[in-house]
Amino acid sequence: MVYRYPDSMKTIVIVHSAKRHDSEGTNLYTPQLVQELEGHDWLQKLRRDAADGVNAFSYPSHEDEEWRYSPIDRLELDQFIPVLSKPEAPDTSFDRQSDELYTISTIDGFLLEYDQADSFRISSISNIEEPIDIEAPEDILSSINLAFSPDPLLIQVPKGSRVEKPLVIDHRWAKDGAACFPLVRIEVEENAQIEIVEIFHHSEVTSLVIPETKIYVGNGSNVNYQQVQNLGTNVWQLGSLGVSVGQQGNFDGAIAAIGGEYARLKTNCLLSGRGASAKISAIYHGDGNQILDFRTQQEHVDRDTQSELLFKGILDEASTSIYTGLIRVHNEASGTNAFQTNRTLKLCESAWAESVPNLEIENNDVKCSHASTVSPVDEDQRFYLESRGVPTREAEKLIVRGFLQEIVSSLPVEEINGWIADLFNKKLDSRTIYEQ
Amino acid sequence: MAELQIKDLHARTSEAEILKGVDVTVRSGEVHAIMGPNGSGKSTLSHVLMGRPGYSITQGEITLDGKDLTGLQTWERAQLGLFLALQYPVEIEGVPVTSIFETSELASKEGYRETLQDAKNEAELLGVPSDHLSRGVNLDMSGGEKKRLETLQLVTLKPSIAVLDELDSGLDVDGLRIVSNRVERLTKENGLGVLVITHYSRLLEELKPDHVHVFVEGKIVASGDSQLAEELESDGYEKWTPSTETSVTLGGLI
Repeated sequence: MVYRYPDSMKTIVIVHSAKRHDSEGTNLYTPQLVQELEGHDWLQKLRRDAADGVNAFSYPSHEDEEWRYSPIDRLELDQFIPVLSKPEAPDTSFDRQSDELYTISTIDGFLLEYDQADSFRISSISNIEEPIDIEAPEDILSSINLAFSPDPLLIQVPKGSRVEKPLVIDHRWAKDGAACFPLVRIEVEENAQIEIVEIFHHSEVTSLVIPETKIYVGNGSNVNYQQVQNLGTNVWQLGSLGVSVGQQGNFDGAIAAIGGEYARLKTNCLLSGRGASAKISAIYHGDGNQILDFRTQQEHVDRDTQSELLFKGILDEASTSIYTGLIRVHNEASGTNAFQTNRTLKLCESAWAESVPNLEIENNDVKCSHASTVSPVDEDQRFYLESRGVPTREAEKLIVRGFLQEIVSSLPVEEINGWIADLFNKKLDSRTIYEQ
Repeated sequence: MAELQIKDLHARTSEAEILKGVDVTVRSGEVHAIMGPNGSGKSTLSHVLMGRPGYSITQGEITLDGKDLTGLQTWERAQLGLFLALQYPVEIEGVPVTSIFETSELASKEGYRETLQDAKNEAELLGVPSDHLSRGVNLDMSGGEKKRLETLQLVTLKPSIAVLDELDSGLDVDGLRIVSNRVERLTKENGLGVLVITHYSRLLEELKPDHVHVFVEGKIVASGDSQLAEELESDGYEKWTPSTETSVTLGGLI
């Protein structure tokens, strides 16, 4: 089987950046440390090259547009120790019927166990003898992820295959003070179909998680993807989700985020084949001093492609959300439809939302729009509900749930929807303050 | 026997005094109509009764069955049995009217299931399509559809006293008849007391008022029986508005 990635293959190139901060960088994440990980020679070389590249990329700084508004300057990478051997498996008591789902579980980025079926194939790239093509990292985070991911996962869905049950990837965390690097590659060949859920579970540890997920949707394939970010309150996440959709392929993706101290997810969706379409939704709810940071790009490369993005967030207490979105339409991509909307509902005066939508369009025959709103709970709506005898607190909850409902009712993986709704309801129910 | 008593009620916004001494008492089974020109403060009266933020009461009192309402939150007033049908019902995405029935403190204590069944039966009588129960309340509904839904909530939540602010606006002739008949029946069968605020007497053809009050510049300037409504319909409010009197005099001079 030869799988052609929609993207052209690249080899790792070490880029020396002028922007390097001499005082920052890392002395810990070196090519020597890579030797501690298991893997065949080709992978070890790839990892060493990636580790070599780590210090070549500029260290993230809030002076860069990419990290503006973020607290990235507080990050001291070397304070987090990479996990180099598999931690003991925790007592994973799943609160769901596992026979309705296929599952894969990881701990601190190590593969623990996984289901197999005829309709797909799961491997740890560490066990693959012959080299496979992996793109060069594009920044310091993907370099460090590739270099130190202990069990990069490869999920392959062969041509024409229909995976009959959703595949759930449970990422859990064991070590305090650790840096974890989950890496998941999902390759869906032509005319295939799969539903995937990736859950970043809650834990009490203090850690840094740098996850990377890449999804290749082959020509004519349908991929539904749900990510749930429910990390602990002492966790920093610097995540990346890359999607590439081939000709007439369809990607329906959603992100539900409620955890983390600072949790960032960069989503790039490439509509690379003619007639490709993608829907990307997100719901998020921040409280305390949480910072939820989303950076999105909808990149239309080929003709007649569609993308529809809707991000809706709830901000409580002194939480912050950052949304920066870009629609990029290439010169060749006539007939593009691309929409981008970010709406934020603030439950508290002290919450803060940045929302920066952008368009970059090189073709005239396109339909694009972007919109962004930040507003408090509508007083007229609250009064209306109260005048029917709905107590203030309940009224506010109804309005908040109603605000998210549009997305909640059409999340891509039905089997997991109730669980996600419960997570959000619990967070909303745990509110200790509300305005009169 | 419920009784809403409004005594010498004065209220203002940050800019101006709007209510300048309102006195009216509504008892179970009674229908009081408050009629007055635009801008006379009729809607403000309904908002102040229900405790909408943005107004302060500077004098007077509002009691329901002897309980002082002025210090209570809106939902607490509703819990005691007061209901307000708004002139412009608010659209709320993702919050169906059934969620209101589920969470309202005014809803029947018999349980949500019964309440919902009642609501479904009433919806049929009032001509409310069943999808109006499940979509966001008032969302993408016409003026008349919203007023039918307001009436459905009134019937389902069974308050003891209802303030109906321009319930007739937006309704067509058939809608008006259905809605006003249903409210009339509530006053007869359930002893609902009604304070109906309206421009026109159209609504009052079906919902017969026991008392009609002319409301001008923040207070009641005259009260009477249904005869008064008919007078207002033919003569308008000129007789009661000081500024109009002046212009008539001036007109005579020229």
